Amino acid sequence: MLNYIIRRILLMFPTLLGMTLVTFLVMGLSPGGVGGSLLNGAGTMKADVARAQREYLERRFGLNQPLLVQYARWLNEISPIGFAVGPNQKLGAFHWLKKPDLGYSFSKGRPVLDLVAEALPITLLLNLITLPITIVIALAAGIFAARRKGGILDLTSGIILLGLWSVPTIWAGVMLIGFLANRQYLYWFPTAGLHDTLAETMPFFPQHLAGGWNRGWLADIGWHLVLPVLCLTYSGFAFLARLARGATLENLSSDYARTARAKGLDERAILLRHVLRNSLLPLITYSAGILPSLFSGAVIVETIFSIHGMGLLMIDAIRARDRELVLDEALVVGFVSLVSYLLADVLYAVADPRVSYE
Amino acid sequence: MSSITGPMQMTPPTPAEPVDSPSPSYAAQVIGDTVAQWQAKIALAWIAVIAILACLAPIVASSNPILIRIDGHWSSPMLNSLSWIDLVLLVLLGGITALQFFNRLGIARKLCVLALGVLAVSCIYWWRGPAPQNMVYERFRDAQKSGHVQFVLNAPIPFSASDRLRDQLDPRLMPPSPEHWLGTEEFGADVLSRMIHACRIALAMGFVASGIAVLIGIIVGGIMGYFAGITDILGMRLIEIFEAIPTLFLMITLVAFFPSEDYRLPMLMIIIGIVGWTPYARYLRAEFLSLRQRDFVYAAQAAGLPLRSILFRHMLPNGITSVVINLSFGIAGAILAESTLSFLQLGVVDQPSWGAMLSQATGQGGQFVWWMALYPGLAIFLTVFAYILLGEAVNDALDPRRRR
Amino acid sequence: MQPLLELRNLTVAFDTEAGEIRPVQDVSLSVYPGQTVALVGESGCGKSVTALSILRLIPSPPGKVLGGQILFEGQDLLPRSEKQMQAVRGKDIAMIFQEPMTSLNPVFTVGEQIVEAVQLHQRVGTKQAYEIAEQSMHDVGIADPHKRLHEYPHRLSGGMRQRIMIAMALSCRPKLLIADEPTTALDVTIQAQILELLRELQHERGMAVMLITHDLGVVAENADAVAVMYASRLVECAAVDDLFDSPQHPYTEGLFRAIPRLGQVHERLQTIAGSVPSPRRFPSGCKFHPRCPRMNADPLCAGQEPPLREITPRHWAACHKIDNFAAKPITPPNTDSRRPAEVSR
Repeated sequence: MLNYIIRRILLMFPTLLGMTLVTFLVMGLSPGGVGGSLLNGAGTMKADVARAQREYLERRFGLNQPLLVQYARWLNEISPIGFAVGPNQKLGAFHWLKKPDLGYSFSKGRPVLDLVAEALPITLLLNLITLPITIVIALAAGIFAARRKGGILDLTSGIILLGLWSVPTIWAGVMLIGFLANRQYLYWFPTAGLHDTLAETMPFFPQHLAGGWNRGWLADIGWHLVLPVLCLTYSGFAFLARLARGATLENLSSDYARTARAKGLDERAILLRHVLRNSLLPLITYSAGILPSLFSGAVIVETIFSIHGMGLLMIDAIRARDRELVLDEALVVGFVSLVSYLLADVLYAVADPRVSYE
Repeated sequence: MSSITGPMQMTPPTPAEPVDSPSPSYAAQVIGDTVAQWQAKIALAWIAVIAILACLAPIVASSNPILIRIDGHWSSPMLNSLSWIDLVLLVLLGGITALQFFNRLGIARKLCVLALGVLAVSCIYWWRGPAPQNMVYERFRDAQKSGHVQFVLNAPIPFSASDRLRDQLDPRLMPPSPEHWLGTEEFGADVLSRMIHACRIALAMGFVASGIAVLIGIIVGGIMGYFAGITDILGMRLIEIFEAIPTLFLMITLVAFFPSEDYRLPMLMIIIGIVGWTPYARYLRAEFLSLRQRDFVYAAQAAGLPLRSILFRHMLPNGITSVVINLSFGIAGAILAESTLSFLQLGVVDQPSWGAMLSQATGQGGQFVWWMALYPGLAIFLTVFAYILLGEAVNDALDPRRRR
Repeated sequence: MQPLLELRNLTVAFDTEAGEIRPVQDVSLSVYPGQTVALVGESGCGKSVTALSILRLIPSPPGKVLGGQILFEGQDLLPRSEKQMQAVRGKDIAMIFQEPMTSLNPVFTVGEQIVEAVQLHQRVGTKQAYEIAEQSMHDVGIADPHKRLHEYPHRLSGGMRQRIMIAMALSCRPKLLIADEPTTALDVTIQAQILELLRELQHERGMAVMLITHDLGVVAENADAVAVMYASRLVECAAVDDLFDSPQHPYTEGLFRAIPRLGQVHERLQTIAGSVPSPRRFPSGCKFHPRCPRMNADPLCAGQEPPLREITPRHWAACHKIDNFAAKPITPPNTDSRRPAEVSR
């Protein structure tokens, strides 16, 4: 198992390298080339800002150098393994571990690494809450439908799930926030953000304080998360529920289920003990597949609900034409996705004893 | 000892029914099975509605009257304002509808007729000259108010998509009313009219973008599957790279670097196509990997056929099934992608789009404009749902075990 | 002596899209304690459905029992509730199946699966259950059972998996074991081992076995009595030696004739003309009549289903064309033809 993990991590490197190459090519092939496309809103900027930006680009890429050299320099800067770069653009010592320099965001006035370090945990929080909820509900729904196979509940739930899958996240988000988080209609949920304005002053758990009931920081963030998580779960849930139903049906009529019945086991035990474990396996595989769509969904959800995660950062970046920030974000998110694929594979290997990666 | 079933022989089977009519081709059979299902019928009906609206948009929703008599002078402003695309679409719609009655003509003949129609209309357009660029939409309403008009025949929805109703006091964000059935949007234009015109973008994006994705996917997947070995390994890395970055992030990155204000629409189509090719490549690669061991491939190779021919004339028809199954889902995805990009204000700017209209729902000042949320969103949902239902119907037709 | 299991006029039907089909019609046979009865027939003749019906393992929406009785130790199993049947399955009557690979759950160890069977019917703690499981594995001839307890099914060979299935089935000491083609999916050498194992265990425990197979060789080596099924019906039933010496039914005759014998010169293997009818389109009258060499266009064969009659003592057959057939009384087959050594048990 450890061998397998190490092998997969090593295999990740070519893919990562390829990713950086592809993104660099996007930079290079775009109108203006590497330098031109990154120059932020040229012509509308003040002279000293424009100069600072040009110097920055020169230092980071070397604008008059061949494309391959530019790529090498950029790669060196963003990777945690590489050469330190001195003030005169001379190569310094080789470090096995250095702080990756993801560049500087002129639109936000801060290094990209700091921005990403702040935004990534928020997006991860959103996704990590969404995924287990999705899987659990999908399993329950799938088993529910499978047990009533052919019945009216099964058929209608099938169509409803297809419909849910088709609901665009943009529509769901807008409708939810419009009707459920709106002083004009039902103000059940907060309109924006992850925290109340007074969140910092709240105690962690709900408490009854002198001035009245205080929600507490934990419950507050939970309350803020309800609608965004709802937006993110429903489409993944619809897809996985159909999968769960199919897997459950297949497993219920499998040979080993027949053996279990012949042993004298009752249907409920067969379902919960034998069938569930086996139905979980394809779900784990496909969960890895819906993770990228969760990230994409996060872009929409964060924009609609004003949550300052990677998605909103991306939108801000593109609106401000801060292209380097856009690029770096794509890379970071890609890297996180690769890691999650790896995790999903490891999880699958743990769950299915037939899988051996020796 | 040998088992019973071994030596049992069967006498030659006698045919049960005489074979008198030629059986339909595989494709025709699949299409027939698909359309027979009720979900497919509903889905195709909706798609047909959208397609027809897309073609008829400039006639159904336009501020230019069909026929008007101003100061004794007859004219048809609507006909004069039709662009080349409008004319071509109208001819295609009319032609396809008319050709339904001529079943005996072969497909090739029907295509010829349509092509002739397009040519004829292009000549008319060239002779008439291009449509006027700057439209003053209020012109006809003003003329009516000032009593110069003796007769007017308006379009069913007498507002163009870009008509911002400048002759009214404050036409922006008006709720649905008898004049504007779905209300008006942020700049004052009629919502229903914009939604009808947006059908074009939706359908065009769906077909063209997925077409591009399918093309790239087939080529890459086919080459990967056929050559296997190192090509396959490299190709899988390429697929992994594309699949690692979430689609929306990738699309936003591409839009950021290739904004292309002039060729926005084609650019978007290419971008959505580039982001979505990987599933098709995977399917075709899997099929080709197994097909390459088959005898007919060896035969084609031994006969010295060029690679292009082996791949696309011989192997492709056998492996295309899995690609076709997912085509409908791919189109749904492309429509969703366009809507999302437009919603984030990264899509087409000059033409109406359902996604862009949806973004106006949570307007400035935190006001919720419900008719901009409900109707455009409903349109996107229904269209996507239709394609997904269609895809499921195709799936069921090709693999009857999936039916409940 | 009372039979351990007695099927009386069992008829099973299935609701399919094309209408109702009856894969089992009017089947009667009995199994005595300690006896091995072989249920023989080609694929599709209904023998597996018969076996599954005994334990009521046929899924109920499409399948249903139309008539007859299944008497186990004198009590009819058919009216029993599902919960009561669960008490019978695995404990009084156990069943093993054809494909040992897919018949074991791949995500649990074999030990866990045997323990599950043990704990279902015996009140024992986990530790003790594992000991019983280990003992069962030892009894079926698995080497080093203590280690093998924690193996997953995919790590074991086909023969070993079938041994595990047998261990699981026998762990609660059932009185009857139904073996549905237990060796068909195995190599010939492993086949022999498994069958010998079954014989040994049977002798040790006085267990009855209903062996379902299509292989006449297996029947000759292992069975005491044989019941031949064709197209949902029982066509012949006799002690094994009687059947092999003088088959009465034309189908059984055809089966034996089709087996090539050493030392004889053949130009062509003798076959039974025609093919097995599908349950959707059973012939009228005697189901075998379209392929029967004895028919001679007799309308009786095409019109009337021949009942099972005792031709010679303890030898039943269902055919209109057996000499003195009409004179014989119609009696249910009594297959008490155990080998003399066991009668005294």
